Amino acid sequence: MAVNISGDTGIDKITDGSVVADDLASTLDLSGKTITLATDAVDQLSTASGSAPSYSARAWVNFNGTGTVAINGSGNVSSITDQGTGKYRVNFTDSMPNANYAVGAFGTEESSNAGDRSDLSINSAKGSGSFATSYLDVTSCYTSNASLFDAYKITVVIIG
Amino acid sequence: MDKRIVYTNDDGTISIIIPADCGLTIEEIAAKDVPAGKEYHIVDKSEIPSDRTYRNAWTWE
Repeated sequence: MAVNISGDTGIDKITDGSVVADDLASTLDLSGKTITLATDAVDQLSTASGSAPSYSARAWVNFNGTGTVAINGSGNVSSITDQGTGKYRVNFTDSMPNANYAVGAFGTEESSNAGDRSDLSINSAKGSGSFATSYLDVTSCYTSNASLFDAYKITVVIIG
Repeated sequence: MDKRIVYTNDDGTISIIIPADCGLTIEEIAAKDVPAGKEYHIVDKSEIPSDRTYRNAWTWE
């Protein structure tokens, strides 16, 4: 049987013949039940159109790679390690469940010309070709000659 | 967070950890993100140069 859950100001109680839970903050066993989200909740999670599913990011970060390196915003990132010119490590607060995640990264070259693009590469573990589950190494280099440089702003998103 | 964590790499260069606002203390971040066995130092952000021209030549004294 499908169970529909909706509430304009939150959900205080769920009943299914008998009371299942008085407070969703307490442990709630919904095994064997199907939950259908209200239409507005589905809209927030899905793509704007079409039936392809959408997936949440496991981690993300936006940081300055020049001057005083600083994190502008992040999620599930405990720190950035400045390893030298153009070399940064993104450390995850909670590790990825496996090494088969996908990465999206973008960097801008200079504050005075922020539209310029830098090439960002993702360093895998030496020799193995695998990502680490607890961190991700990112390098920034010029598109013209591949030499390392400090990108003005770098954004990284992890999905997996 | 106005603190930074500094440690020396095997090749003599230094790495600088910039903590995120993730709910962990600077000590917890150091314990988690500094490579095992590395001695580290927690310093004020103001102690780190902002001129990175010779970043790869920085050393810790």
